[in-house]
Amino acid sequence: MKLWKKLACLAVACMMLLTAVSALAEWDGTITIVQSSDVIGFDPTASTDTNNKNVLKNMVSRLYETDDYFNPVPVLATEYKQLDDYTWEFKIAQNVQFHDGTILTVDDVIYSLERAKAKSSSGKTLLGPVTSFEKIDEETLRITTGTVYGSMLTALSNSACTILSKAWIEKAEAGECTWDDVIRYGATGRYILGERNIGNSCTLIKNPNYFDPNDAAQNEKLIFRIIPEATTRTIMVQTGEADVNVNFDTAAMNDCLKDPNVQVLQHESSTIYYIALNCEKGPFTNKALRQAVAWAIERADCLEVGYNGYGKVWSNVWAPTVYGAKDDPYSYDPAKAEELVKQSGYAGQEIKACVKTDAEERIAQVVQSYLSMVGITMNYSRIDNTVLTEVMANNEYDMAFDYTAFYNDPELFVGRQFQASGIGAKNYAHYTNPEVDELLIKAKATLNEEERAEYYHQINKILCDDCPWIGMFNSNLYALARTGISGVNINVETTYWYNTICYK
Amino acid sequence: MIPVTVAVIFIVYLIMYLTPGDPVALLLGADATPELIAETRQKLGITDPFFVQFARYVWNLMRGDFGMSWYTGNPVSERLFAAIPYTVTLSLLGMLVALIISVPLGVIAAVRRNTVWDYSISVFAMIGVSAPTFWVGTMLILLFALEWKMLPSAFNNQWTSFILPTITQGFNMLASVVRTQRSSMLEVLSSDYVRTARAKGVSHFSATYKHALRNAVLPSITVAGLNFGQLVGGSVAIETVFAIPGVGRLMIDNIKLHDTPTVIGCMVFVSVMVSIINLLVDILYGLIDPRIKAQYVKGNKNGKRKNK
Repeated sequence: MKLWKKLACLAVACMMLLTAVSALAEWDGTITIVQSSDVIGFDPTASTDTNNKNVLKNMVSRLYETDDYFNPVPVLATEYKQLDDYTWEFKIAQNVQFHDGTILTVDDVIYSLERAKAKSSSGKTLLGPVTSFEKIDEETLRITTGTVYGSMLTALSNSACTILSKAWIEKAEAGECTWDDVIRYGATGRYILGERNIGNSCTLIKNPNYFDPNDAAQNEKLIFRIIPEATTRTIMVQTGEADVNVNFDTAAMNDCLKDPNVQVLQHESSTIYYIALNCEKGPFTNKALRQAVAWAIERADCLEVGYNGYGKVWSNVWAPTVYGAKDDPYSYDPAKAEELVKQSGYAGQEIKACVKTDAEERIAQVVQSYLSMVGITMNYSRIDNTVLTEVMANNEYDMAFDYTAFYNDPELFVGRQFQASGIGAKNYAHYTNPEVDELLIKAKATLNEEERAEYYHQINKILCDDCPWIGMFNSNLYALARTGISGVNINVETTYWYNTICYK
Repeated sequence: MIPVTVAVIFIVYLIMYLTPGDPVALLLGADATPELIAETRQKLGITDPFFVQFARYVWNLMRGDFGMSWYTGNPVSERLFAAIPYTVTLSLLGMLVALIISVPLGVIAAVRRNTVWDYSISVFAMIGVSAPTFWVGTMLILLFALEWKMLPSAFNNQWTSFILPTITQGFNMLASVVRTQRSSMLEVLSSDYVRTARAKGVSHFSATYKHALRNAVLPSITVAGLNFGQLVGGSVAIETVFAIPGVGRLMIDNIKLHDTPTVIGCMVFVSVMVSIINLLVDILYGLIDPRIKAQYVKGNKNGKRKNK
C-alpha cells in the first residue's frame, strides 16, 4: 500500500476514534432548550405568555400543579378537606425553604393568593368565588367561597397562584428589588435563576435544597436559548447545539423523522381550531345557516392545510380533553348543508370572515371553497391579532377563524365564552342561551362529579347544536429532542416540566 | 441630526397611533375582563389625545428617558442599550466584509472587462442584489451548520457565531458596491490622466491601483455609506434568522406587540446611527480626496464655500 493511502486510512481511523470518544464523553448535566420567545417578566400575576410561564414554573411552586391531563396534584399542599360546600382547609408542607434559606409560612401563601386574586386577569376569574383566605394555625390555610366551587384545586394550580416569599414581593413592589431578585431568592422551586441575558438566554441552576428530594431536578443546569426562527430552532437540535426544541414547527416533521440524531415527541392537546360565528348580528343570527356551515366543510382538508395533518378531525365546540365533550357531531354532508341553506332563507349576501395567521388563512381558503359549493359566499381578510380581538369584541364580523386551548373543567371557561357576561371579552360569538345559563347554575351548585359531568355534557350538546363555534380539528403537540434524551414532558397544553430531562 | 430624529419620532409615533389594534388585549391575555382592560389603558396613558402622548414622549426623551415598555414594564433604555452593541458590531462587520471583497472584485471586473471574470463577477453581483437576506441566511445555515457542521447555526456569544450573519449582511451590500466600483473604475481608467500616466511609462499595475483606484473608490464609499442605513434596518431579518439579540429583533418583536415606546426607542437609535454614518462618510471623503478637503479649506479661508 502506498504511503498516502496508509496516511489516509490512519486519518479516517483517528476521526472515527475521536467521534466515538466524543459520543462517550460524560454528559455535564446541562440541558439546552430552544424556544421562540424570551421571558417577558417573572411576576406570575402578569405573565400570560406560555414560554414565559414554563420557564417560571420550573423555579417556583404552587399548592397544586396539574398532570399531563390537567388533573390537579398536590405540591405545597399536603392534604385538603372540605368542611362544608363553601369551606376548604389545606395543610401546607412544612420546612419548605425559599431560595434565600427562609422558611415558607402560611402567611406567604395567603399573601401570594390574595395578590393573584387582586392583580392577575386569570386570578380574578379563577379565584372570583373566594371570599376569604384565613390562617388557622402555622400549617393550615382556610379558603371560604361565596358559592359552591368545584374547580378550587384546578384554580390553585394556575400560574397566577404561584407561591412566593411575602418579604421579597413587598420589596419588589416598593421598588427595592427587581422581579428577577424575587424569583432568585423568594421562590421554592426545583431551580434557581442564574444568569439572564435579555433577548438571548436565561440560565436556571438546580436547587440543592428543594423540599422534595425524590422529585428534585435530574439535570444540573437548564439553558433557555431564545431562537425566534423555526428553521434555526430545528437545525440547532439536529446539529447538537441544543438538546430540546419546545416550539417545534411541524413543517420540518418529515426531515426530522428521517434524522437519526433527533426524536419527535408527541402528545394529544387541548387545542382546537374553530370558526366563531356572530350570533348577534348578520346572517349567522340564523341557526340553520350556522348548522349549514358545520355540515358543509370537509375538516380533513382543513387539518391538512392548517396543521400538515398532525391532529384529528373534531367538530365539537370543546376539545376532546374537556369533560362533557363526548361527541363529534358533524361530518362532511354537502346535501344536508344545501338543504339547511335553503331553509335559512340565506339570500347570497357576502359573509365577512377574518383570519390572523398563515395557518388560519390556508384553512379559510379551503372553507371558502366548500362554502361556495353549497351556495354561501364568504370572503376573508387577514388582520393582526390585536385587531381581531377588538373586531370580535366590537361585533364587527360575521365569521372569525381562531384556535384556543381549554381547561379540562368547563366551569373555568363556559361562563366567559358562552354567556352574556363574556360579551366584549372572550364570548367572541356574542352568544347567549337561557337554557345554557340555567344548566351552568345547576352545574356550579353541585360538587358531585357525576352530576357536574352530566350537566356539562348537556351544555355541550346545546352548544354543538346551536353552533356559536364550529370545531374544525384538534391539533397534536410536538417537541423535538436529541436522540438519547429522556424525560421531556408534554401535557395537553405545552411542554412544561424540565426537571426530568436528561441523557440516559 | 436633531430635526431628522424628531421627524422620525413624529412619523413613527403617528403610524403606531393610527395602527388599529389593542396592545392591552395582548398584554393582559384572553382572561382579561373589560374593566381591567379599561383600567390598564388609562394607566398606560394611551387614552390621551395623540399630541398629548407625543409631547410627553418627546419631553421625556429630551431628559434621556425612553419610557417604560408597555409589555415588560421595564425601562426601554435597559433593553435597547443591551441590544445596540450586537447590531452595531454586525453592521460594521458586514460593511467591512462587503468593502474588502467588493472593491477588488469591482476593479477586477473593470480591468478585465468583457472577459469571463467580468461576467462571473456581474452574475455574482446580480445574485447578491436579487437574493433576500432571509433566504441567504437560511441557506448558509443549512450548508455550513447542518450539512458540513463547520459553524454554529445561531448566535452563541462566540466569535464564530458572527461569521454566517456577517457574510449574509455583507453579501447584499457587496453586490451594489461591486457594480458601482466597476462602473466608476471603467470611467476613471478611460480618463486622460490615466492614459497620460500609461504613456509616460507608468506600469499597468501602478496606473490602475495607485492612480485610478484612489479616485474610483469615492462612489463606492458613498454607496456603502448610504447602504449602512439599510444594513441597520435590514438587520431585522438577519437577527431573527441567526437569533442575535440586536435592535432589529427587538424592534420586530415589539411591533408585533404594539409596544410603542420600545419601537420608537429602536427607531431613534436607527435614525441617529444613519445620521452619524452620513457625517462620517462626508469626513472620509475629505480624507480620501484632497480636492474636496482643499475646497473646504479654501472656502473657510474666503469666508464662504465655493462650488467646483
